[in-house]
Amino acid sequence: MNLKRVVSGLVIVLMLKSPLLAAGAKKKPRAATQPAQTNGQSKTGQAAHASTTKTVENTNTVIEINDTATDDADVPSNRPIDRIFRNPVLASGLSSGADAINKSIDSLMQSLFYSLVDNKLKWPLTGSASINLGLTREVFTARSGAYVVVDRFGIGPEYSKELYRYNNIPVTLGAYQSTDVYDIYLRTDPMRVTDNKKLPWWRVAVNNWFGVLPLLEAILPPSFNANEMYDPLNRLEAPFSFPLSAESAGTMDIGSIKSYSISGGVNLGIEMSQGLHGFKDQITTGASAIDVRLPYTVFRTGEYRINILKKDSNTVWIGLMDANRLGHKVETKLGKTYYLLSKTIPLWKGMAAPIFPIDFGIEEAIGDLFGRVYSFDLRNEEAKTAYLEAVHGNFAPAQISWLRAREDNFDTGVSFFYTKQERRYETSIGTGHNIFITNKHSQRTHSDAEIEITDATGKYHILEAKEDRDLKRWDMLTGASEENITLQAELMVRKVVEKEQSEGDLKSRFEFLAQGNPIDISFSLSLNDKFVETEDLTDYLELLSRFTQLKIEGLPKIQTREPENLAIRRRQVFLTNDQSETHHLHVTPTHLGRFEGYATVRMTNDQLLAIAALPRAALWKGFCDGFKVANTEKCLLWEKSLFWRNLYRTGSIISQPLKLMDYRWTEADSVDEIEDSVAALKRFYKGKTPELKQAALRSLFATDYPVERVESILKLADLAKIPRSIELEAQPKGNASEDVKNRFKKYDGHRFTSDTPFPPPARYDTTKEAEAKFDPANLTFVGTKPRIKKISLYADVRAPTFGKNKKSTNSSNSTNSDSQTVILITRLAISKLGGADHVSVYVKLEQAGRVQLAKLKLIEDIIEVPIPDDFSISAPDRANFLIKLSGPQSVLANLISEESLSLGGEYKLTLAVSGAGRLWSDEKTLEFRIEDGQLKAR
Amino acid sequence: MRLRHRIFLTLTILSWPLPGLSKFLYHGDCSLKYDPAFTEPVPVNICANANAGTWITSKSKAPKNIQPPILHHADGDLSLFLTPWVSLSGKAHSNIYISRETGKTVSRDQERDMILLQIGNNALSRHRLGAGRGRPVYRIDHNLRRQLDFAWGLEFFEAPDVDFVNYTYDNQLDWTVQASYGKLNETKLNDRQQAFGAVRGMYDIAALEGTRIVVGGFGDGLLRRSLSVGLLNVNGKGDETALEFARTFGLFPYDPNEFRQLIRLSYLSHEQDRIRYKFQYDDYFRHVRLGGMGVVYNPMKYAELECQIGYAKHEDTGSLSHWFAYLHAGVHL
Repeated sequence: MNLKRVVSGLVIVLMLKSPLLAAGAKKKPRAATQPAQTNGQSKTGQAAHASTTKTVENTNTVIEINDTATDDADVPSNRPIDRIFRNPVLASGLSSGADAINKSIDSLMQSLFYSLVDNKLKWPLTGSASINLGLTREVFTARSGAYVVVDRFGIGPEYSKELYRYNNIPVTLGAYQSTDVYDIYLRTDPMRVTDNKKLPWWRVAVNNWFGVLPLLEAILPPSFNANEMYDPLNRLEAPFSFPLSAESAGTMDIGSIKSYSISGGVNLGIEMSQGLHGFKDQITTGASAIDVRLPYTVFRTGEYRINILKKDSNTVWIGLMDANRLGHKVETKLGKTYYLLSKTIPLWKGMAAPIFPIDFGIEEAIGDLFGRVYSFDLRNEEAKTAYLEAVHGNFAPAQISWLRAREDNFDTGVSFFYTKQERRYETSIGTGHNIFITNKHSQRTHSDAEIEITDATGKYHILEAKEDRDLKRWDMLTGASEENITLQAELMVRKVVEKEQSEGDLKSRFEFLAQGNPIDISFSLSLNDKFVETEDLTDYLELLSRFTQLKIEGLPKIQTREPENLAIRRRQVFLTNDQSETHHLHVTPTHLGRFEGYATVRMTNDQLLAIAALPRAALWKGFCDGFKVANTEKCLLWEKSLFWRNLYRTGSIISQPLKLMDYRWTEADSVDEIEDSVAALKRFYKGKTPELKQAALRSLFATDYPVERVESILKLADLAKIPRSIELEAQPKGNASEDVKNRFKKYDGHRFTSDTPFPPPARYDTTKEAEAKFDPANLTFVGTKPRIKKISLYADVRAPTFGKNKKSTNSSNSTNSDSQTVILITRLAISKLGGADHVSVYVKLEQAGRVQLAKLKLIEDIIEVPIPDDFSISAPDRANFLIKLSGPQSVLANLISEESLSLGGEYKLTLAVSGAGRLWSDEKTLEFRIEDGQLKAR
Repeated sequence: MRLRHRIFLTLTILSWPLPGLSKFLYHGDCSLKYDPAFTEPVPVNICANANAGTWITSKSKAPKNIQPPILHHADGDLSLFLTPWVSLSGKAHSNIYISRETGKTVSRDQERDMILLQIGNNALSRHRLGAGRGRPVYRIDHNLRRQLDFAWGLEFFEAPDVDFVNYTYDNQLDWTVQASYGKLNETKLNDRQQAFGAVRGMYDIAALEGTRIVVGGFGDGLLRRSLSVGLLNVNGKGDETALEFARTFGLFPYDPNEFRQLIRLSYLSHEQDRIRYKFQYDDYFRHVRLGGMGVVYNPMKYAELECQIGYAKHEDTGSLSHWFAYLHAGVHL
């Protein structure tokens, strides 16, 4: 043996060893190995941060949630009333909606499950005529957080006949008539459980689809909303539950709306279509891969609607709406609906996958709308009689009763709110795309209108110019987000009738009212995103800030990506290569939860005139700033020279095809936008009559870039005189760390306002407020909701009282593991009970089960807790009590919940309370876990 | 160096106290114990993995009651990282099929899967270069029964074996783009026929706690082309769900016999109490549809038991449909 070589080998090993030992962390215990496909992200670590949810690591762990808000009434919002939520059902100018439904499907849940509740049946009568029966349901989320369910029963004939063919292009005449009855009501999960207890067993079974609905709720992701499918029979009951008598109106739920309408229309259209073949389809059936359709239609529609709102236990509001529209439209439909996984299950057509890369339409219409609203106190006999007539469409007795009350001081029980007559000229452009897993649609409507309103104090007129842009995005993974911008001007005028020379021929014009500022201009922006990430939040805050020129300060900063997750990923991928089959996902921007933002700006005629009076060069510069044209010289060149404007305009021409898919190229469009804005402002400045001002404002608002335009106007204005506000709402969700969730929670309820206050509501605002009551999304529970002030959850560890519990506790580290069981107890402190003698408590306990596909409902029930007389006398509005969630003395526990709690895991507890069984508090949730018999925060 | 000296040196290294080795020798998921962005990485690191096991498959309606052969499978990969920026990796597998009736070896499949020299580190570098021999990745390829594909000949969508160079751009935030270029390892072909190119783009979004969208494809001089689009979701608990759509075309793209299409839906749960659940549905257009559910159990460290039951409907062999089940026992490092 060569000793030298051995020694050299040892020296080499020593030299290698020393740097290898110098670095690196301490070896950690090996986790159980997994198959090749390791995940790229790990669960966020639970760092100890101060928050309202506290944990104390001992055997009696307590977890608490505190609601520190006072019980005072909410601060009123500055948001314009009619922009709080756009009502897709009752909005005037409603098209039949059938095309929109057929073109795209909102969500995967819609295509898989919710469409089961939408039944459209067609019985052919002759070759061209048929009878349609529609039973549909739509569910929205109201501002109060409850669900608004709109059940519709519709029936009517339809006629469609091809009259002629010109070069293979069909010319079709169509007509339809429909009678629809709507039942619109609020629903929450506690109300659903309450119903289940009160209804007969067979109705409960039908309401829950014979047990299928609870199963779907358990296995599907949280985005599945059981209210979409619950109680399918209610749609059939809608026409029979319509309150045609005062007695049946008395049985309506407070806050609910019943509505019926008779509508119809005639249309004449031509349709050009072409199928494009794809290679696969050539192999199989020869069917076209994509269809191109270009229908042009002239239409006339009408709708007569009666809405009934139960305002309180004795009062009912009735609103009448009569709308007629005449117009024409062009739509392009490029795409087709495919069916995936067809033939896998017998009798199933497959999952519908609409692929419409281009979905574009333009519509122009003139609409005449008539509306009126009365209130009826059903304790009064005269009001009852007037109600019976009004609900059948005859408002004459109601008008007479109201006049008797006003002029003769009789107590007739009838009040009059307003009568409104409106003629609206509308142009609507819809662009977007729908490729099944993602879709985007932008609907832009600009209109002007002449409105005549008669209210309790007299008649007045409004001229209106309005631009409304609604942008909806949806994708299968993140859900929906919506952005709405409205630019609106209301001109307070009076109508002057002039007699023409030829006899009987009257001509009218408008004049501004002498007193006050005759033009009220408002800009509003609303954002609603159910799945917001840190990057989105930054963009939204910047958008709100630009829209109002208000600074958003004082909010906690949230890092785009959690540093801990970034470090974990670096450690995981350091020793991998690019040809590895294992995917290690990047750390994406942190998901925060749900976000809503509202921005409002109000301006007066004088303020806009001051801007319009500025020199053209100053206006061009201001708008160039708003449109981010960095080069000032280029901007001035545009202002001076038509040649240079035309040269830069070519970019806009090239980008026109992108607009079909709703893509905008700001740089290319900025010349046209700025030129139009400056011209509109100058026309506004020069215009003397209300009609000219209205036309100028309509041009000023007609834009594809409303944010840039508003920003430019504000940059040119004297901001010290313009009231502006921003309101934020934030609801943390998801798996972000507690620190991040707490920071995001601090955004909730924040307001930023200018020093200048908003003006008091004008006369027209009162009318709009009454109109908005019939908007389903504004439905809210009437009365004072109880409030959960504090929830404490703690575990009481005891020896089991009977043998079978010995093995049920989770045991590996506990010292007395074989003989202990965990009893969960929750203590509630509630307020605003309104003197009720008992409290109904809704309790839901969920666990992501062993398979952890979605969630497993362990407990969902309502229990009645009596309040002792002496306590209710001394503190009629408050109560504190304990509820045992597990253990032998618990009324809620069942075999599954006991077994699950003894094995441990992660849980979510949801609680709500009610003093009278109908008005429920907001739901509060508390997440926790049980590990080795110990209660810990998640 | 003489053999006895090599043995002595190896024993010297192996007999070194284990805590010393663990500072640079990794296996399994090969996660570092420290953050390489803030701690100077050890200059040499080794990542080693090995799996071996036996697969026993049964089919209902097996022709002449002859059941599929038993598969003994082993695979391993070894990566040597010299400084963080240079790595050398190798991967190989061996499949031996034993007839259940005769006990004799029916076939063997032993192959070097990949050799790769990479410059750049996946955690620290945005730009990376690689050169090697093997089958470049271009798909999402979330396959939970890879060995079954070997046994049933369902490897239509694998890239060919090539000598290649590979460039990757990874912005370390959400985007990764990879491009490979190389030559087929078949000397009978001319230069033009040997050309190969592949590209893959991956984009990560926060949806559902982490989702990757993968689009990729390859083409070669023999006019073989393949395209794949897929989604992989990995939630905070570690559940993995993948959806993939892939198509491949041969010499004559409109020839039905050369057209292949795969739609795959797969799910793998995170480990809970040593158990993972899996589900996979494959639709090979006009060839076979397979759906199966299984359980993977780790009774102890390094050991694994798996059982899966499924149903297959063949569309190209007289529409034969049958149930299948397989049992797997193995070890992994």
